[in-house]
Amino acid sequence: MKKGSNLDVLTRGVLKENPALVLILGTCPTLATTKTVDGAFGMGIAAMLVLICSNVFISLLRNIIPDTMRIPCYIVIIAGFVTIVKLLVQAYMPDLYTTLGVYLDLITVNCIILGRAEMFAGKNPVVKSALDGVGMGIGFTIALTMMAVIREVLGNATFAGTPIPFLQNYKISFLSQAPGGLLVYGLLIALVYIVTKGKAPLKKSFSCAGCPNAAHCHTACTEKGDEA
Amino acid sequence: MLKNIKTVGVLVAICTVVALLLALTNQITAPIIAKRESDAANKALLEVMPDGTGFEELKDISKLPDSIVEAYKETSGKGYVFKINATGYKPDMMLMCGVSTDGIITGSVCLSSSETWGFEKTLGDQMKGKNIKTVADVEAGATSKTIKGYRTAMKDALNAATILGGGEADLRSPEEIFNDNLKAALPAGEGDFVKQAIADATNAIDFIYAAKNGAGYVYIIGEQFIGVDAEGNVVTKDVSAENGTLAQSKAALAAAHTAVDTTDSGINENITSVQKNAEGNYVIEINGLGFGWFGNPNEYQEAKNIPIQICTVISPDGNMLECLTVAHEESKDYGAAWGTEEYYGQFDGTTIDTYKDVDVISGATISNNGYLKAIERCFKAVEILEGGAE
Repeated sequence: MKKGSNLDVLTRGVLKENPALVLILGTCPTLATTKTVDGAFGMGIAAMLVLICSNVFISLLRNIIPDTMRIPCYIVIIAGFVTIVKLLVQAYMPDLYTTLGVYLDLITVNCIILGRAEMFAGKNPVVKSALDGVGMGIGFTIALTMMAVIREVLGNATFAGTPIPFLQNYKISFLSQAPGGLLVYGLLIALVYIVTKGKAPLKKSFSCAGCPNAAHCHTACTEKGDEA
Repeated sequence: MLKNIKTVGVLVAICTVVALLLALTNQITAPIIAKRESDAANKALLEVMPDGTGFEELKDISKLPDSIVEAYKETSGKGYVFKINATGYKPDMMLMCGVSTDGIITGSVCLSSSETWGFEKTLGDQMKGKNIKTVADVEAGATSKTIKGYRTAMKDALNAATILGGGEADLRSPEEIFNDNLKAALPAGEGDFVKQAIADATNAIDFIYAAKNGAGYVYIIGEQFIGVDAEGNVVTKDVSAENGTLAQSKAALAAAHTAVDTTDSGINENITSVQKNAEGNYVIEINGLGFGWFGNPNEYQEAKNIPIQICTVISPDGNMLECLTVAHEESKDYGAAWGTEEYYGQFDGTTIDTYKDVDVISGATISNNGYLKAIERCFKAVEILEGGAE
């Protein structure tokens, strides 16, 4: 697969640059909404919708938005799309709206959305930005759903709210709680690290040196032994 | 300067476009969201007033009791629904209560609370059909702050409905109202009554209270408190003929109770009274052990030297016809558990071989053991009195 091709942009968010398991972005909703498969899948889809729309919008305006004003502009765009998605979910999927609660609003400050706006959509054309949004959204949704399946099935002996009869006496309740979420999250990160042979986290584009502020804190990066 | 104007202009333009998109989305979703919210609100209101067809929120609730936080009028005039902020062990026990125009509770639910044992979630059904006279008599032996708070909230709702109907609120506590009604029904009882088991009453009688001084009984049928004196005469005025006759017949049955001589019989010393009713069944009153009496006095709270007072009606062949907790002061953490029909009603139909199969109150070993021991002693007393094993 040619590096930088549309297919590459679309697929790299799924595993190689999975936002939750490789870039370690969006940790808060990842831990908070993965108690149930329904909630996790819903959060993934909602974040993906916002990600696609904001990426497209920001990419369209990338040559108009002044560099000094880009963060406020990104936030306005992202907050706008989050509110639109929230209204749609509230109107057409009230159960999901209740499940996600405050975390739906918090997509506004989800690092993945702002991170992709800053790292990708602000520098790339519309189609690629849209594909990046789709890929990252799918990757985020898969990561959340995987975590939720493990936590709900083993922790609560249910799948998407449906009881699993033969597991009822073998619940590991710890997994439904916050520490269990952290444990599952850590294990999945380790699994992805093994699958990608540890290469993905060293990529320059999202390592310390890829940070927009890297020039100002170069010393700090060096002290941390960042070799990217 | 021009650069700054351009920067601000871009931000304003983006904000404008985003605002327009939001306005468009809101235009589409607002009616759907409003309908969903209205349906959800009506669903909660219908739960406590199932006959309601529609509800209109009352804006001015300044004249209603302070605990009323929202009030709704049923649009076809069937009554009112109130949202009440009650206080049990902890504040903010949010309740919803429906009251018909004739002052009867049509239903109540607990919307949210932070009470320790969750009794507030089980009281809704018991409140249905109560009026301001009877709202206090929900749980036998109930001293829990949760239940007192619930009762007070129900009384506030009933008072609120009265105020909205143009009447005046009753400022007495639910317990004072109830006791005053007992006193008024049978003045000779001097206000000192004890609840009775009603095994041989018809289902039409809700509760029976006996005057401790032997002056007679008060029978509660619906909202009527009917006093019957020791001679079997109905002493309360304005009682319907049907209810009066019913109370009299019940009083005649009570009068037919005969004391059983238990001298040197060997029955347990905690049994305070054994009688035979008109049908030949044993009515046994016993003091059960627990935290309040002979139990561990210091672990959780100071012992009050009050036993779990239990009344049982057992047939000569050893079947429990009825079990009732008359009074208790067990650990406050367990609220009114021992006094709830949900608990003592489990013993109905049991025998000496099956009484231990009931669901006990989790984490209250001393009280559980005391209660079960008392039940066992009642069964054994019947066996002894019937000439069986000692």
